[in-house]
Amino acid sequence: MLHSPWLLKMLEKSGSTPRERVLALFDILQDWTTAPGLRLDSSDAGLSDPNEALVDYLTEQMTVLRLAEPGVLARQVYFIAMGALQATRGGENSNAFIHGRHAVAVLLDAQRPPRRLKTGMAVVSASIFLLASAMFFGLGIKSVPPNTMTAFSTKADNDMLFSIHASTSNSPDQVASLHDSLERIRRGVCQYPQALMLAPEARAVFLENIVNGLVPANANQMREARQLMQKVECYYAPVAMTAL
Amino acid sequence: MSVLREKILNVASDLFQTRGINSTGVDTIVAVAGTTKMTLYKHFQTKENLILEVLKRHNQEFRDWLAEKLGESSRTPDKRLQALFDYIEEWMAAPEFRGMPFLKASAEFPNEENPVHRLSTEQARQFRQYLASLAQEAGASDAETLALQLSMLIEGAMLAEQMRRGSGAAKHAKKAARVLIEAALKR
Repeated sequence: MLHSPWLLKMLEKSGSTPRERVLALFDILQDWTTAPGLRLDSSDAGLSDPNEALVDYLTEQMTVLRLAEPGVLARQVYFIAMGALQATRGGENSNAFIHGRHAVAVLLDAQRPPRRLKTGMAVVSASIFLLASAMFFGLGIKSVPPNTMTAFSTKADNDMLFSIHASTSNSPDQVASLHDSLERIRRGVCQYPQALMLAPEARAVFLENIVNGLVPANANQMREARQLMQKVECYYAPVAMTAL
Repeated sequence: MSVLREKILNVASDLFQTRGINSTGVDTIVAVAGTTKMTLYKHFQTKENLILEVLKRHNQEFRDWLAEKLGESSRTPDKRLQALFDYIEEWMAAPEFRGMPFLKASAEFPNEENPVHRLSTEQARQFRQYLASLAQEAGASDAETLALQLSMLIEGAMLAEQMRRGSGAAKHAKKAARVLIEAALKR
């Protein structure tokens, strides 16, 4: 039942935002357990069903909300939902769902990206695709050749940041370490608010080498990219979660 | 206590946890314990009584263990509440963890009139009460609510861990508990 397509369909149409849909889980479960003639038999609840459909659905919603560790949070919500169902067994604790809903609201608020709270800048939490598009098309920032390293390098040669030793080649170790970092960034949910505060030259490196993930061709650019990369905030679901 | 009674209790406890209560017959219990049905009935009268005894003993053991762990710590009350989740994580990580007996029992005996169901419901209520007393000592403004939230979190995590060992449920529950405890103490 907890993982039934019916429940997922009900959740999908229960609200217009992911937050509303996640919280609606508790309303739906409460209705379901108290509806006349539909009284929940605990064996139907799916408490021993190893299916993961509900967890997957919740993870999707958390990802859309851009919350830290969406998989972990989804599982926490799932535990509380199971715990609430358990608590209502035998007709006790009819308010378990209300408290469960409240607990989940607290967890969602606590996981909101902290920078968003501090700065209040809506754009901070926007996806990188929106950010990049805004920069290329909306804000009219001077052209950054989007995808070709050759074109980018030519431009970078003229920039102050990269005027010295532009042709110095990268050491294999540095390239390997950068590849490794980029790979990790790809696996996580990352935010790039710092791009807004960078000088245009650094922003170009940031977009090209970190957001687009192209490995720089020269050592200076590489150094710059590595420094910028440390500013990227990523959240990773633990391996055990992603392997599920 | 008679040695045989003790032996039957241990064997039944083990079998109930690994095979489930309903699917463990009296025949199996006496065979594994190396005794006879007559001895079992002499000590416990019915299988239902045996189940109730096993539940009581598990519950007592869990409570004693937790009280001892928490008693050892010289932490402040709010830290004790958080430390509870460290111990529960430790308990769930033990290879012999088979879930909270009262959770399993209430699932196997959904009929509210059944004495096994009634006892497991009572044990769940006592556990919540214990959490509420810890929450109150820690200074939570609404200790009952926090206790209910935390117990749902723990029970949900235990059910998840029962389904899939090594799910990391305890660790995730602990993180969520920290957020809920902090939020409740701030109010």
